[in-house]
Amino acid sequence: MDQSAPRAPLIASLVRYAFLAPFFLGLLLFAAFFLIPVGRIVATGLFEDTLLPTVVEGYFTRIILFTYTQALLSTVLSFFVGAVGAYLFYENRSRRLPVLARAGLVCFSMPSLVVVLAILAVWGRSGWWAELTGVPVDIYGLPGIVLANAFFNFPLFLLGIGAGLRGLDRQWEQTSLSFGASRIRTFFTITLRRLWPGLRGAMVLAFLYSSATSFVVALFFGGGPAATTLEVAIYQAMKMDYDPALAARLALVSLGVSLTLYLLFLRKEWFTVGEEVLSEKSLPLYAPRTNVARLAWWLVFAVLFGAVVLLPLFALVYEGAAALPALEGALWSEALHHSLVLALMASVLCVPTALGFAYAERLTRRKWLRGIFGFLPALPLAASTLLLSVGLLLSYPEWMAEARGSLWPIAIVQALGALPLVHRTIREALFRVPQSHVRTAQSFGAMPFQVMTRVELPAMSDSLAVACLIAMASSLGEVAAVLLFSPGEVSTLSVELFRAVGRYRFQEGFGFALILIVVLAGLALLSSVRSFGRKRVTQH
Amino acid sequence: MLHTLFLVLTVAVHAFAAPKVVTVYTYDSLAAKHSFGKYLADELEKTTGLKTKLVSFSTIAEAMQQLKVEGKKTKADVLWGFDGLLLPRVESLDVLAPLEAKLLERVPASLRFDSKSAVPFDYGYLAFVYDSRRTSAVTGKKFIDWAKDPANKRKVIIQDPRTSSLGQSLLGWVGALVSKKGYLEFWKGFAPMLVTVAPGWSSAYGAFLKKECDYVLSYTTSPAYHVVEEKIDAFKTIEFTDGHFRQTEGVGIVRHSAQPALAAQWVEALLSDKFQAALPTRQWMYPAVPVKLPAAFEKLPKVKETPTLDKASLEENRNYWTSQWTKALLAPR
Repeated sequence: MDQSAPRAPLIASLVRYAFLAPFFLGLLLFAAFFLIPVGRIVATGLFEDTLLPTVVEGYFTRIILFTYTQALLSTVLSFFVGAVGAYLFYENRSRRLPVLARAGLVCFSMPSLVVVLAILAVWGRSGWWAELTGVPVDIYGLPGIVLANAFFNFPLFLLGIGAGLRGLDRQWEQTSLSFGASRIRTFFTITLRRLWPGLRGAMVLAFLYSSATSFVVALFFGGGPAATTLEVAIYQAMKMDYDPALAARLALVSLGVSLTLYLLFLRKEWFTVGEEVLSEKSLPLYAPRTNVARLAWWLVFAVLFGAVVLLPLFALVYEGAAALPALEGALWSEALHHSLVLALMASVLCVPTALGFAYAERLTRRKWLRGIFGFLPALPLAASTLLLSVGLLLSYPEWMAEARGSLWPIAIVQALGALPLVHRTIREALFRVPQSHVRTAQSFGAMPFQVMTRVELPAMSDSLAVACLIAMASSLGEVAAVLLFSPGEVSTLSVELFRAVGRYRFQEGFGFALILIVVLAGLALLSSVRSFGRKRVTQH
Repeated sequence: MLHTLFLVLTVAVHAFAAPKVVTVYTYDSLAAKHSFGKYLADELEKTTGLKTKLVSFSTIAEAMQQLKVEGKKTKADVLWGFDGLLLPRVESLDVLAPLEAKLLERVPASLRFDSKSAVPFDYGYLAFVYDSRRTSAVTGKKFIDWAKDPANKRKVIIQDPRTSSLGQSLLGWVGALVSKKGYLEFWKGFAPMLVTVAPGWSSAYGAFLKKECDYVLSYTTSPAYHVVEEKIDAFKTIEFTDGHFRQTEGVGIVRHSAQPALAAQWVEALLSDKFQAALPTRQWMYPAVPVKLPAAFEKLPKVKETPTLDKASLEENRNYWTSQWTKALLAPR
């Protein structure tokens, strides 16, 4: 009996797909830096003794309710800003939507502390609005929290809905209209149904980001215990009360909600970005018919976008411009250098890892294994850097001390933070590559490596550029991982911003924020250059 | 034999050649560029050859936690930057070694901790800062009376004790002035005066500079920054007649340090006149060792001090204060 016979195809397959090995190294990093630490949190939270302190009756129920109420309201406002923008830009056949959506990542990546101060500069008690009109706005409480979260999260809707609208083939709607259905009925029965995956994805993302990211916004505008989110409670347990078991138990609640949302709504489809090209098939159907209606819509958008995004962003630029001449050249250039190096490292780690997961899912025949490869990279959505730091400290206490000062651990943690968005962008693009192209290449004798480099990657190039942009933008605005591993020597723009305001130099902080805005906007434009070129060719 | 001799020689040469490095665990703003810690490290190396490796953490609590999990394997020699309110916690973790008497005695008895393993290196008094260009001066008031004065409604920003050490010190300030029974009542009275409760000093002070409030919780030394760095003499602090709470920051030698003598040398340098004199305009706090202060510090009001809280009282009341504060602020204002 020849025992080795069945192994031959396996070995041949391994050789054929050996070029994917670097991608799978990323999967190992994911296991070491995410799965093990989070597993440790789960074990600690489940099995170690701790008590939820009884502060007042129902305190933790209140925290959970508040966390998700503010997240829900923030999602609604983000939706309105993003949806109105996407609708107007698409229905007026503007080609600027992808650029605007990418530029929106500037907001998505801004450190929360300066966003709070920028919102105060506009909407505060002595802000521009109050000075100009004499009517102060009370920004404290839910209005401030919701406004700030919408500032961060509107690009998710701009991307999700915009990409959905641009990718729609309008023949179904045209058929419906030709059979006499009204535009409203057609919209609700056909268009909305087809936009739903992208919309749902953006909603869940905005909700998760509003509930599990930095607590600075919620706490500052909320004002104390009434505005406690789960992140505050975890921070308190970990850093003030030194109770990792309690932190882990609270983290379990956060993980549970995020995973449930993921499994319910995000498991299959998400939005796509990058490849959309206006074609005759995607004619706008819902454009305002009269000039008055068009003007009214633009007015609504201007008010929403201006109040939530443009004015705070302008405040950041205005304050930062005044501070720029006073910034110490050596300090900001070193911070810029470190920021860009880290962003590149995070991107280099994140994009191949995401690609590895996407290929693993595509190459696997077993359905359950495909599900796992599709699900795992979304997990970091459920864990903030704070939570991850708890897990890393519990899992590798000695290594954590050794690793301080090195850029790699920072880049790894930042890459993990960006992985869910980057993976989805790449996954959608890979699965959208027409199989007919792949089969044609194979029929001409192309090896898998050649199929990847000559067919798949070129077809995904725009999405890959967006994925790199997301990874870099996410790293540029990140602070917690730098402070977690840096021994004070590593200075990035975001960290220097925090350090400047920590020693009374608030104006300097805005200066660093302005440099960050310029860098992020530059990257967004750079990632759009290729699509500009491609669209020009398409028009010819 | 030859092998052993070679090994001994190698170790000896290595020991002579290796630079002396003290590893110090501290919080980020003591280790960043332009910080007092960086200045100390550079100067110390220049003048004595003693190198400092500053290992920074986002909070000092994180550094303490790290020391605990590292145990005997730690490479840290010094823990630098915990405040007095954290001291019972540091002691319960048992991560510090007893200090020599000469180090403890470098600082005046009135400032010393109730501990043999930690010594203060700086201190500051909590205070409410205001801008005299837009807020009129408050004089001759007790903190406990000012805090419930309806004239201050929605005019004050403080920090959250669950996320800020300054916020925790405020709980201690109130604890030093108010009985346990009256603690909740005090906060119920003070709550309507608050514009908001900021997560940390930066957002609170930033909002104050944006004119979001008339008064912000900071230190009596804050106005000195504006005088020295911005040449603005308009920022003042309210001088309360019932006293101001002292926040004292300390340093200690790690119990499992492999080079305690070198660590002691480092702490001695930190407490030397030279570095203590350099501290005020870099850390914006008072030095623990009496040295000549810069002119801007000399002009600061000499405030009355609240009674010092002993360790037992801190341990006993810490959670109680936080829970009463939470209760009071959760109630509708």
